[in-house]
Order: sequence, then structure tokens, then C-alpha cells
Amino acid sequence: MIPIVEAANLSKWYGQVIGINDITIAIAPGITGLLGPNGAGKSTLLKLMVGILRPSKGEIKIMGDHVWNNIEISKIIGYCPDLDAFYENMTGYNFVLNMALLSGFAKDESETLTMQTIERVDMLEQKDKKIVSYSKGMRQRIKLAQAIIHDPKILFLDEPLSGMDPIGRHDTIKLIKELGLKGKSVIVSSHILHEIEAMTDNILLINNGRILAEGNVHEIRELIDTHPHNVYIICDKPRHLASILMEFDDISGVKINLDDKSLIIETLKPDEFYSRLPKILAENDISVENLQSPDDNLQAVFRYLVG
Amino acid sequence: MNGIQSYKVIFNITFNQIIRSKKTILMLIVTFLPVFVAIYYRTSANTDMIMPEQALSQIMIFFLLFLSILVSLFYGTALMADEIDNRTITYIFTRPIRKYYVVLWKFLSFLLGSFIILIPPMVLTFLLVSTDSRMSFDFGTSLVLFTKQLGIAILSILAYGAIFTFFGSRLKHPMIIGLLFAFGWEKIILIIPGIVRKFSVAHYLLSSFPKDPSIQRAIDHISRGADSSFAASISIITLVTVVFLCLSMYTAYSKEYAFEQ
Repeated sequence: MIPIVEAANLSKWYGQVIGINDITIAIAPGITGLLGPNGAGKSTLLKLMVGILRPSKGEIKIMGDHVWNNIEISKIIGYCPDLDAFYENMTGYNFVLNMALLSGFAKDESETLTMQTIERVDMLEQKDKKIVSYSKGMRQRIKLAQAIIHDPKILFLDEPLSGMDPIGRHDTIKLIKELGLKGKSVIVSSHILHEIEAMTDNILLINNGRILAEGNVHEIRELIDTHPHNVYIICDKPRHLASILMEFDDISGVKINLDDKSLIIETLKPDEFYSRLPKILAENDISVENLQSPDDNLQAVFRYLVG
Repeated sequence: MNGIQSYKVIFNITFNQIIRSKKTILMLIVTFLPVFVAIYYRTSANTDMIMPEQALSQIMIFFLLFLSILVSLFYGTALMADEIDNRTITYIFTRPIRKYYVVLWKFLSFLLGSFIILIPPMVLTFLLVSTDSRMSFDFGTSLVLFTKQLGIAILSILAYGAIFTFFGSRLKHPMIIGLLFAFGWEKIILIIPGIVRKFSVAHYLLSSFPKDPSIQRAIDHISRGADSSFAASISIITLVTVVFLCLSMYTAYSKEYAFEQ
């Protein structure tokens, strides 16, 4: 399968600041989540993908073609920037219509497409109001509309759910999934895990301009094994339990909390730890009040990898 | 698919930005000031005032050396810079259109906007003064002269517009650099003796300005008799326009505007 995006040794510097650092990736068709904290390089990577930034080093291709100043690529991509920037005095309708015309459609066709797309993002009622009067959520919706107006094959969405209310988030996630089902490829960025998780299993983790991990959620979860995994236990004999656990090689650290009732265990092999623990507790007559693994979710994977 | 339609959108967006801009109100006030001067002149019965043809020539030089430059500076520098500052350039540059044509169509829009702002007050001023009973020229002679002056003013907008469009495309603070160029370099260089003045656009505009004796005295005062020929002046003004417009187009093609965001 031909990757929709290929980057080889891709780097982007902003003067002395590194935006993207030696990234080599191949993104397959479908919906892909680009996940990373603020300042991780998500927006820079997307800007390189849509050709509004030029690589400082390395190369990036969309469907096998270079992106910079390539209008053939512009025809097949849609981009929803994270910037809250608009032609403020235009109505939402005129903004989307102009974007349709800029995409090369004739006037009649553009008008039809504009109405259909505005309806798709549920902005029909507000279409004739000036963008300056829109709420953040409405601005996000109309920004999304301009990105999909020309029915692009590949869609790049930079934090599309930012500022949206719960209904807007739900609708947008639904729309993105629908686009995926229709065979469109979507690369969507966010710094919030559950947003990405709601859209796709395919994730790219990015931090400090580097791709930390890629694959589906489950593969990324397996990466936990290569990083310390924390377990929080409240029990009646925390010091005794700590002394027993320290004898095992996979335990990389034990910390007894100041309350002297709880401890945090750091293990490199969580599966082995969990299978061993009941036996240890039973043999040593340790009563456990609470056991939590704050790492047992996707959030933890992310924290581990970026941490 | 309709290619020209895309560029018409650029033209329309830019034209609306020019017309609806707050600075347009300021520009209209400034460009209509000579009209009020002309009205005052026309209604004044003071016989000590200068002759109408002299008054008209001085006002037209004011249009040429101040107002046309001011209008070009305000709108030319903003053509690309506003899109960059407002970060709306992203919407345009991710569409399947040629970046250099974007500049060209924006420039066309700038020309129309500038003409709308500058030409009506020029025409009104001309009509007010040239129909004064004290005018020694007949209306036909005055009209021919005015048409030439208007043509040079249009060339001024073209040349300075191209220069300031380049500033707006290339520089981070185009207005400051533009102000220094327009009212620093372009004015100071005219009073420096020798051929240095030939490195200014204003020199060629003045050299090609109509050679009516009353106007010539004013021009001689500024240019100190170091005129270039009409043909050379027009050629150089055209060359400046083409070169700076091409530089602006190349800048738009090659520059990473998102880098500054």
C-alpha cells in the first residue's frame, strides 16, 4: 500500500529553534492521530505536509510527490489550520464559497458545494452572519468546512476540536469517522488523548520534534514494557511489602509515601508484577485496601513516552 | 474547473479589504484636501493669489510627489503584509493556485483601489481650477495638460505600488521601511546635486511631467535642471514597475510565510 505521507530525515528549524528533528515516517491511508503536547511539533509537521513550510533538511512527499509549490498536491489535500485566523468581515457562507472558487470550481458548482458543506458542519443557520460574530466553536466548524469543501483525498486537521462544545466535538468526530469510512485519509492532531482515541486506533506520538512511537493504540500500549510502569498500593504493611518487592529484578524503584500507608512501585514488567503480586500478598498476610495503576490507560503511555 | 475564477476571488477579496479598510477613510480625507483648497481658491476673490494655471500645476505636483506615493505606500505594503499578519495567507496558499499570480491579481486590485481613491479628487481639482475665469489657458489646452499629468500620476502609482508590494512581500516591517524610502530617500535625493538623483523614482516622474512653462519652473526648482528625457523616464519607470512586480511574485513563490507565524 502506497503511503499517503512519506518523510525521510525531515527536519525544520526556526532559526536556532528545532521544530522537527530528523523524522522518518510513512503514514498509511486511513485516519491517523498525531498526538503530542503543545509545542511538540505537530503543527510544524502538518504545515510541512501541506506545503506551507519547506523542509530545512530531508524531504516530505504526499502520494509520492514533493509538496512545496506543487498545485497538483494542493488539489487533493484539505487543511484546517490551528490558527484562529479568518477574513473576519466575510460571512461564513462567503468564506466557504470563496474557498470553493479558489479550489477551481465554477460559480454555480461552488454555490452548491458551499451549501452542502455548510449543512454538513451544521452551520446553515449562521451562514449569513459575519465570521467576526461567531463563537469559537462556530469558527472551528466553518474552518473545517473550508477544508473539506473540495472533497479532498487527504485531510490535515490541526486541533480541529479545540474550543468546540461537547456536541460540536461529537459531530466533528462523527464527521471525521465518516470521511474515513468513505475512503478519505485524515491526519488529525491533538494534545488530548481521548479525542484521538475516539477517532482512530492509528497514532503517531510526537514530542520535541521527534516521533516517539507509531502504530495502533495496542502496539503503543505494549511500549509500556520498555518504560517504567507505576503501581500505587495502599496496604497495612507498606514497608514489609517494599522490602519483598525490592528483591525482584524487574522492580526499578519503590517509594513509600509520607502517610506510611501507601507505596508507589515502579516496574519494568507490569504483567509479571501483576501475576506475582497476589501470591506475595497472601504469603505475607498483607491486606490491600487499594491498588491503582495510573498508567493503565493511553494517557499513561503518552506520559511515559513524552516524559 | 475554472482557473480565472480563482484569481478573481483574490482580486475581489483584496479589493474589499482596500475599500473597507479603516485607512481608506483617512486616505480619502487626505486625497480630497486639494479639492477643498481648489474650492477655496475658486471662491476667493483675492487678486493677489497666484494664477490658476500655477495653482493647478502646484496641486498636481502635490498629487504626484505626495499623494500618489502615500496611497501606494499604505495599500502597496499592505497587499501581502495584511494577509501575512492576519494569517489568512494560509487559506490562499493551500489552494491549487499559483502563488505568483496571487501577487499579480492583488496588484491589479490595488491599482483599481488606488485609482478610485486618487483619480476623482484629481479630476475634481482640475475641473474646479481650470474653469476659473482667471485661467489664461483655454479648457482644451488645460485638459490635454491634465491628461498627461494624470498619466504620470498613474505611472507613479504603478511604480511605487510595485516597490511597496515588494516591501510588503519581503520585509517584516514594510510600512516603516516604506516611509523611510518614500519620504526619506526619495525626497532627500532630489536635493542632492549630481547624478545621484537618478537613483530615485521621483526624478523620472518629475522629468516626464508635462513641460508647460509654469510647471517647468516648479520642476526646475526641484530637479535643478537635471531632467532625464521623456522616453528615458517612461522606460525607467516601466522597468522599475516590472522589476519590482517580478521580485514580489518571486518572493511570494519562494518565501515561507508560515515561518513567521
